Amino acid sequence: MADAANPVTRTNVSRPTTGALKWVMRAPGLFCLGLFLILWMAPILLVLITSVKSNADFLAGPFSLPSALTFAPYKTVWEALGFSTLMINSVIYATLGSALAVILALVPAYALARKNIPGQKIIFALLLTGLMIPQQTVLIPLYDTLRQLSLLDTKLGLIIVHAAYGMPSQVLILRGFMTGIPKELDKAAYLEGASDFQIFSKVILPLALPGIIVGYTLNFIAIWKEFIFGLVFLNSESNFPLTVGMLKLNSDRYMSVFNMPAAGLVISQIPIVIVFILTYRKLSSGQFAGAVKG
Amino acid sequence: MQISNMLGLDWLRQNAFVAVFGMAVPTIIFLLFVGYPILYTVYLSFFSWNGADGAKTFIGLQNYTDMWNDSYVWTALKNNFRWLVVTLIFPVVAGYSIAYVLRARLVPFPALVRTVIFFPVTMSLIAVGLMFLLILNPMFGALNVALESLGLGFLIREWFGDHRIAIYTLAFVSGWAFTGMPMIFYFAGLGDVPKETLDAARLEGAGHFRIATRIALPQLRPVTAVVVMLTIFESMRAFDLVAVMTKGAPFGSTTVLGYQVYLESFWNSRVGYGAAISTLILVLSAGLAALVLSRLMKGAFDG
Amino acid sequence: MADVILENIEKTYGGHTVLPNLNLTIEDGEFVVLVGPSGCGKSTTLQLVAGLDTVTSGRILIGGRDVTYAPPKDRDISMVFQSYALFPHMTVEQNIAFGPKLRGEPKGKIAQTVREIAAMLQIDGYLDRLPKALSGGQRQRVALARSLVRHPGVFLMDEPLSNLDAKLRIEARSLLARMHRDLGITTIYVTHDQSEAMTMGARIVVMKDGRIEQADPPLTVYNHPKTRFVAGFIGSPAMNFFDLVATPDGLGDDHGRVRLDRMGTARGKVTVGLRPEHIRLLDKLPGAESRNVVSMTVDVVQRLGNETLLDVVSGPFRAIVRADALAQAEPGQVRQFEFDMNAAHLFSTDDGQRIEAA
Repeated sequence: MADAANPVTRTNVSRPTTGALKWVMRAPGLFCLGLFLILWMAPILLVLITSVKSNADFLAGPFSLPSALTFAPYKTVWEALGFSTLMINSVIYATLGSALAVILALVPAYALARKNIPGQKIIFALLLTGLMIPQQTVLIPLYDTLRQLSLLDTKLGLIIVHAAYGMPSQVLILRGFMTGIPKELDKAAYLEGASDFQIFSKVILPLALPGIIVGYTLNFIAIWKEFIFGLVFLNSESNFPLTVGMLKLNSDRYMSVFNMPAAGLVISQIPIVIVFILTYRKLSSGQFAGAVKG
Repeated sequence: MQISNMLGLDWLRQNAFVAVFGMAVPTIIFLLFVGYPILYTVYLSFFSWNGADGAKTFIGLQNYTDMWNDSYVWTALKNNFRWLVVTLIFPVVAGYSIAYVLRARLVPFPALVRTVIFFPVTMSLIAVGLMFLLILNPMFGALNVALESLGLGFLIREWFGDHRIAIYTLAFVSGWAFTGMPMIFYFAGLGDVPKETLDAARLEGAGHFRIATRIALPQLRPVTAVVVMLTIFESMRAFDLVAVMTKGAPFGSTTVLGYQVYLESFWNSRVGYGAAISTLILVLSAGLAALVLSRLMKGAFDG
Repeated sequence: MADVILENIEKTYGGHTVLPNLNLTIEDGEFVVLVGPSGCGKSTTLQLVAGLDTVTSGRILIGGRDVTYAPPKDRDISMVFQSYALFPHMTVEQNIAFGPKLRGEPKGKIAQTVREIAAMLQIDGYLDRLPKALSGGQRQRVALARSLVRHPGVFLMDEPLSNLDAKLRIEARSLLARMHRDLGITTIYVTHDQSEAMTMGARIVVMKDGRIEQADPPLTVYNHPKTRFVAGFIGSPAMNFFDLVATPDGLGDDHGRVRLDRMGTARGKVTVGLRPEHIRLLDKLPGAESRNVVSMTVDVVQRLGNETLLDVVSGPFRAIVRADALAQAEPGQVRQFEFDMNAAHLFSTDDGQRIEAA
């Protein structure tokens, strides 16, 4: 597996490689990169700053620093939109939905990685289809199905839907990781008398753990971000995830003073930041390569 | 080597429980919640239905001919392709460049760079939409204010109000959020490119740009295939940003196919028609993806 | 302890027949080496004995029992893989204990057996380390320990030393030889390295294209190769071959470069084989009555310290000759070489079979 510390190439001996001169030589490239960084960091920083401004500060312009830090916007938004419920709901959907997707994907991924299933290409094509459907496409039939199963406006219904749509990418990711496990380990275990299930549980699963973590995290983020299914399949405010609840922010009442939408934004991202911090190292290493190769 | 024993009855007997549950349940859920809705949508596209208790009337290809004559659909289609072009150019190129630069250790604080660029991928598009509504606000938004104070006032636009550029604004915002994805994929992929090929080029005196484009990139075809496919899917599926930021305004110039589906199905009660547009999206996505796959990769799914 | 009998084994994949008809008997306690070039079928044979693959037709008997269709765990065998196949997520102790735990043996007994075997292989200090924290040689010993812990009747080894560097390889060879001497387990060992085959086996089985060319003790294979292939495969540097014509007067070529004593009653086109050590560099010009002397030009001189290897050529004939460490020879010289016809081998030019010289 690739590792983040692998440099792509050694530096050319004839260029300065140490000291201040090194950075001067690289100025043009650094300038471009600086632009990029500004492009990506500026919006986020702006939002952060804006979210702690008071209403009066707003008129002073977007780049002005707040005269006094105030968390009033946060408090207002939190209460007005019922963020505590929204937050809990989002957490439920993301953790359970992703977990279910991973669990459902385990055996199919193993089958695709290790067994010669007839029609593998068709299955791959099907999985890809699952990945590429635009969500609006399936809203009506899905609505109908949920209604018939009495799962409309229920947390369980939304969790199952998220799991069903997260499953194809999970299978692809997990399969990618599993094919990276040397087949000789299977044979060695088989030699010792391990049954198929034992090979799966004692050899493949533990070694695919990094893949499971990567897959789970990606799915978690995807479900957290999602809003169409939440919007269409849920009616009660008590069931809404954050994304749906936040729609209310896009109204004149809130958008006229930027600090409140900004605060709402920030709140909705905090759990993701936490997840990010927790799994950062796993995500950023070459583990992705295993997934991509699938 | 085939472990041929394992496909025999022996295996089935020992593992019936796992085999049945492990494979059957996911398959059932997939078919029920993913497969069936897709098929039903295509089926619906040949009908006229108001989505509630109205009758479903079979009208053959009528919906499709209506689409052909619908100027909104044509605008939407063109917008999807504009979206695709912007997303192929901006995030993919930026993502690859950043990944290369990170791998070649050409910048300080690589971890910071990676985090900053990847972070927007984790943001819901509602959040991204709100954020840029604030920043690109014509009067109070940070961008126009900054341009004015930098003396670049001539660059100021109504980013969402000007019907000529609004769609590009949207596509750009979407690209901004998306860039982290190609970056991560290329970053991982570059780690697998044999260092020797790049070293050899360095020895011959090749500069980084040449190495990145002529040496590394060709070896990254599988990654590029995945990235391009994801880009196609994202562009054809575009909806969230339109719904949050412009709702098709001004004058319907920013509508996309996905939004038309939404409008027709939920606001105009023309569910069959919406289904037909959905089918179009599906066909476009599948067709473009197949094109990309066949040209960029042979044997993409072997092993 | 068990003997292994392979009866009329045929193995076909798709349309391709890897083993047309293999017959081999391995005595109880014997150390047999399967050797041959890539694709000769040696690894396939091992997989069939292990039960990791099933024969297309034929029978396999281990210890007198017909195990042709039995799964590996019922065959009383153990296998060491080329890459060792150690479970990376388990400690050394867990790796070794994997099999016994699976079979449900009592924990106390397992722990004790593991410790004993680890001590015997001198890895008892590493029991709670992960494979990635071990050196190549240590990993190999863990792999051996894992396969020993089941007290198998037959030991199967698939190129277990090819991942080691040269020095470690020699040490490992001694370890394996000692183990076999102490434990006496029937062993089938696969390698592509002919020198490994020579030093390790009580019997060498040379294979080519799915067939057994020869199955004999090492020195027999070396001194009495049955086919030209075996003759050229075993021994390093390889045996030299000369395509000549046999007449009542002797062996020679069309241009008179080579004139040798006749061998036996063979006539017509033949191939003469002589090992590098059986061609002698002559210091002095031979006398008129010397026979079996050939003039050849020295092309390359390789001085190894303990001996010198000379690359020599004469027309279409090339040969490698072993000479003294201090031999006086330079590239470009034309020198005289005496062919020891007592040690020469004769093969048919058509089918490579050995022709016995009377």
